[in-house]
Amino acid sequence: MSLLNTINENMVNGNFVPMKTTSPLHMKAVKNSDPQEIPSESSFADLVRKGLSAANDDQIESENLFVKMISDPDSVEVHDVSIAMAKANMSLQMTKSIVDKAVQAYKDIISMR
Amino acid sequence: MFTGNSFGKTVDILQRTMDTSLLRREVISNNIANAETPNFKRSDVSFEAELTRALASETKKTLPAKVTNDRHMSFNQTVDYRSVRPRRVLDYLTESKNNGNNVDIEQEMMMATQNQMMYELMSQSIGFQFTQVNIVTR
Repeated sequence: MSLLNTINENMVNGNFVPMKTTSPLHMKAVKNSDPQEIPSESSFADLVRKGLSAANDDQIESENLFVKMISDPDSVEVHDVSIAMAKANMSLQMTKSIVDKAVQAYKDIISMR
Repeated sequence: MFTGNSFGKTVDILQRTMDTSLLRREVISNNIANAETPNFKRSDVSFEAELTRALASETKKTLPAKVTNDRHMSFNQTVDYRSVRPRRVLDYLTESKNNGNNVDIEQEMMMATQNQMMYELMSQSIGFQFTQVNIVTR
């Protein structure tokens, strides 16, 4: 077992200098944390807001694809359009059911005696 | 009711394009019907390119021109997409047969099929738009 395997970057103190990378394939000296990863300390409100904006983005993307399908048919594949439609539909359904469940939970709580 | 938001705009654009699709169907049928008529020239419908230009002019950022006279033209004239109308264009420049007729029946058939599939996709899209609203208002 080499030293490299036993020491990870969390054990090293000091300043990390970001390496200049010109291609996404280059390895970075400082690992970026995954932007998709949800930090554990984010509040419920933030999570809801993030989910809502993601659902909204899906809607906007599907509408943009419709217009693009008309204005520039060669740049859009038909399956992309139907996948965007399915995505937007699913995210909206999910948002709706989450809202319904939250309202239901609120009703359950206030009816508790 | 829905004018001024992206839902209304998308539905409006889809509706206009579907209108164009119907007109195109008529024009293509006319071309096919006259495939053997001497001296007949085929027609075409132009709409999408004009619509694209109008939509692009809404978002395009150009240097504002200094206008000192109201007859001066600005660099970017915003075209409202609602003012774009489908136009029948007579194709009088090409020639494919000896009798002055320029209808290529295979090409017309292909265009008819493509037009029909485009219409189906657009009717699906417009149905989807309304389904989305119905999910929320249900």
